[in-house]
Amino acid sequence: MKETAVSILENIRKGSLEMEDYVFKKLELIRKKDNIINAYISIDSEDFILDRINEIKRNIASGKKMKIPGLVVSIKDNISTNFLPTTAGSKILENYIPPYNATVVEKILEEGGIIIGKTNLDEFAMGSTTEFSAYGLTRNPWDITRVPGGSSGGSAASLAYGSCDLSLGSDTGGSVRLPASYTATVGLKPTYGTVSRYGLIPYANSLEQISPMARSVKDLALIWDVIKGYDEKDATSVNNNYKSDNKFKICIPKEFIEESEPPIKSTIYKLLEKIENEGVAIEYEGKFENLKYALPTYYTIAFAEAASNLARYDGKLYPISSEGLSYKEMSENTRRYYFGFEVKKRILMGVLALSEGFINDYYIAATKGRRIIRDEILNMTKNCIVASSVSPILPPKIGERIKDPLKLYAMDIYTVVANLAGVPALAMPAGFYNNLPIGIQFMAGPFEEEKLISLGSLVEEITGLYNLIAGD
Amino acid sequence: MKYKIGLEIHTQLSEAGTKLFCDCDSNYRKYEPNTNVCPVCLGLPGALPVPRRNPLKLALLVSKSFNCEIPEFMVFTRKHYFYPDLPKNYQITQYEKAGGIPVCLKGILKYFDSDHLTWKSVTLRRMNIEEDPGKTEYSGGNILLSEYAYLDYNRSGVPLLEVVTEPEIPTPRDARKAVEYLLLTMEYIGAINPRLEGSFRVDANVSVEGGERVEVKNIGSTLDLEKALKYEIFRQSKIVEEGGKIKRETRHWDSIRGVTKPLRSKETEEEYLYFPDPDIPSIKTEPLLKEALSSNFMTPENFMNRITMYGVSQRIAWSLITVKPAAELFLESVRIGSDPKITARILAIDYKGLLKKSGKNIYEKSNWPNKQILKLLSTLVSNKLYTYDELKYNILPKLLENGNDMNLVLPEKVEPTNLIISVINEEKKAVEDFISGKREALDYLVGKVLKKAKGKAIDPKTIRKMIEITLTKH
Amino acid sequence: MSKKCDKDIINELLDLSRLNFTEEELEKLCKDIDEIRSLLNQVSSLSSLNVKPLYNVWDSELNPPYSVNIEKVNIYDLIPNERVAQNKIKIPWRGE
Repeated sequence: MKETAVSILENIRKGSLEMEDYVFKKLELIRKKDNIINAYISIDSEDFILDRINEIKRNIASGKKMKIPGLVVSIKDNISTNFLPTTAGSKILENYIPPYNATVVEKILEEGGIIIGKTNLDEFAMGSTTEFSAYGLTRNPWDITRVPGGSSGGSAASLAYGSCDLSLGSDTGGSVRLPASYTATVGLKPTYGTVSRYGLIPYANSLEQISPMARSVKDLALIWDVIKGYDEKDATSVNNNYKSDNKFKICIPKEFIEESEPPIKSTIYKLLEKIENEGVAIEYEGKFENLKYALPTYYTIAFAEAASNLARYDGKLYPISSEGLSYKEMSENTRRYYFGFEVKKRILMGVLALSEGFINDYYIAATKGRRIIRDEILNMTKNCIVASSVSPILPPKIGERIKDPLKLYAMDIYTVVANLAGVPALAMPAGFYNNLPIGIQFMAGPFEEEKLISLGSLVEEITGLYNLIAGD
Repeated sequence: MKYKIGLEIHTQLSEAGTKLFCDCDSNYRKYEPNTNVCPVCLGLPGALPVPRRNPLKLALLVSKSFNCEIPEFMVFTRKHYFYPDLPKNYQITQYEKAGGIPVCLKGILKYFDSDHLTWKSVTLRRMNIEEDPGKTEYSGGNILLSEYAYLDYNRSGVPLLEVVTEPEIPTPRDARKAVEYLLLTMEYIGAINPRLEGSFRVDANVSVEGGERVEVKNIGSTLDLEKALKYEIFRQSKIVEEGGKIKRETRHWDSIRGVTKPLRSKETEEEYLYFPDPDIPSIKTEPLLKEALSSNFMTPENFMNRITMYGVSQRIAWSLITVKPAAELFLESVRIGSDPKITARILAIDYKGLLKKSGKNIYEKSNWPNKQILKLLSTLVSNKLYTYDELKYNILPKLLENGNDMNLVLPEKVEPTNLIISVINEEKKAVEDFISGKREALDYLVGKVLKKAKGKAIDPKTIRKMIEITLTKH
Repeated sequence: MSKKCDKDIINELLDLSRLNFTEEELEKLCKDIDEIRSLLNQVSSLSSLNVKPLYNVWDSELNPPYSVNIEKVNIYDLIPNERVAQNKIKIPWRGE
């Protein structure tokens, strides 16, 4: 039987699995494989982990109820931890150890999770391939000549080679779903406001959510249950008790699949047929009028917010700081030498989008576009779950996509929609083509995560594609 | 020469308790540098601003007090510029273009001109809530030449209320009175302690006829405001009279030398990349305002109406109002039966004078007597048990010394006739001098009588009159 | 604006964002920016649309709390000690 986070948790609870043995085996695997995959930016020391295990054991002994005691969790390096550096994949935050924990980190610690390390990402989550990290690119464990997707490529890869049970990424425009589909893992972008962003180093605040990842939908449900919920430290956090029903119908706007590469299209249609055979109604007549506006709307808003968020990195409050005779010189040098090219480019575009002469045609226009897209998606997801490709292409080769910005941005066409509309979306394995994973995306109405999880559980029963570890 | 004055007044909501977006203390002055800071006011990556209730409620009360149009929602925006004291290199404010909505859109600042004892008003363009930056110190104190700057973020995030008037204030004196009244109102609301160092700063813009607008930045007191405006109007008028042109520029007020100095010329509007802060949803004003109004609060104008209703003159009433504990004490003691005019005179003039002379803080409530004592004292005078001067010279100083202990305070009343007769008998020389026409001798004789009374209640004016009558009879 | 990389605009953007590039990078930057703008220009037609901008995806409202319990920060934990002098953060200045 395959090891799942669910089954490991059972064994830990029964006492038939020694936490130390289990975690140290993971550490060993990381030592063996991560010099090639490069899923992690930093790893806990053994002493730290031993202390943590003892703490969890004490809590168990004292009768504390915890949701994930002993499970090994990796966390994207743009989520603040006060015990490990948090770099956001950037040189500009090298050696920065936040003086506080993100709310989700507090929750994971509270529920007994063992945070083993911080995972690689595109610098400040700006990318779709995890090639833009200042700490080296991450490779796809299924084919190390290919990218794992991004920007949460480190989290996806850390799961795909089995170095942890659960992971947290962040999803601004597809940043957990794209990597999930490229690594045969599962990623859920939750409804905007359901997971606290307190402690998430922002790229585009109005679009992103901290997002759980796992190797199966059932495992994902474990960590989802830990991290969700209202947080008064985040003013955009939503206090919601919505319970979704578990009746579902699937609909498919053609635009969401048709432009994908043929193997992706055929894999998804075949899977949909099987799902239909299980008694789920599928409607193939859907339309999505405003898809053409999705990418420019998304990127305009993301750039504008990013330019603002990244203004603070000027060398005065963080360990990295350039020399300079004046503050102006110091801040210019710090930003010049410690931001990567892609980040600087996006800042520049954001400043353009917000500047006096252009704000109406760019930023304001995009916020209007966002409203019509959101309204169309809310309407579409009112009665059905929208199925689509996650990515229009198979996992690209390293270096293949990053030279041309438009080709890179086009990878996000199917995923940005959920962020623009704020709705939840789940990416999970649909099949393989030439040993390369292919994913499927399900997008539901606001606060319908439970519905997505039920559908996802059904789909993984149908495909049998869960708890897959590359190289097993 | 005609001119126009407009003001931008940055007032700290120093009494809000919390900073605008975090729990750190709004009164930062008592802390060691950088110890009143948290991830939010340091702008650390991932920390999120959550507007706090108190600063918003106070800002709404101020808006309400000046008859503002209060929008249904407030929306915060980001204003970007690089500066060391700005941790995020943007300031969260409420700019009304680019999607922001301020707390007050249009209002009227009605203020009391205590020189002419009349009410006047100036139109408010808007008020917005924003975060104060941190503090920058320069080595050697020189902002231009200093090699290093030293940053203290204790002030970062303290709530500021920016009040912007239309350029329609008639004189520098009026500018001063208007700002003083604004601050007083905010003090009455419990929003600010205007006597705290740096609790407000004023930027003033002045344009004389035929010239462009000049902005004078960073004026730290109302006295300086009047001086800076007088100077600036003089400077600009002179240039225009000599045929020169006034260009649009920003100047800096040098309070030590008493002059304005050029800071930078402003050719175009600066680019601040404003947009609504995506971390902060809009905030409905109505429930907050309702909550804020449920606490009892009165503006200085309300006080003025109440106090003058009791027959107290506007001048004395204003003197009470400028010291909040005195005005409050007046109403409290009148409510339990104190004589209004006598009480007003005690509080507004004589006891206030004594407090000041003794170096005690007149704004500290505990330095004032309690309302029962005031009632007793004013009744003693109104019932003619003592004259007002007896009260003033014999009782009030003792009250100041002994606090509220009545037994120590009330002096024994003495019959002055015997004292006068014995002084006249002892001071033959002075009596002769007086009779021969030396008026100063009378003062001497009054002094002698007072000395004999040994601090017992006695009214110098009465004594004077009595001696005069006695000696003229001779 | 023309499709050609506009140096004036680039310089203004660099100034506003306190950024700089090497000559080599600048060339690539110009090419990329022109391309990206061709993408972003596709939303410009929506600027005249008669809909309210959407800044917060749920058009939500906040009921502000009195306090939230945020922990304080020790400045010495954050910044290398040689850049702190008597609790104050030291930076180069010289007037700008």
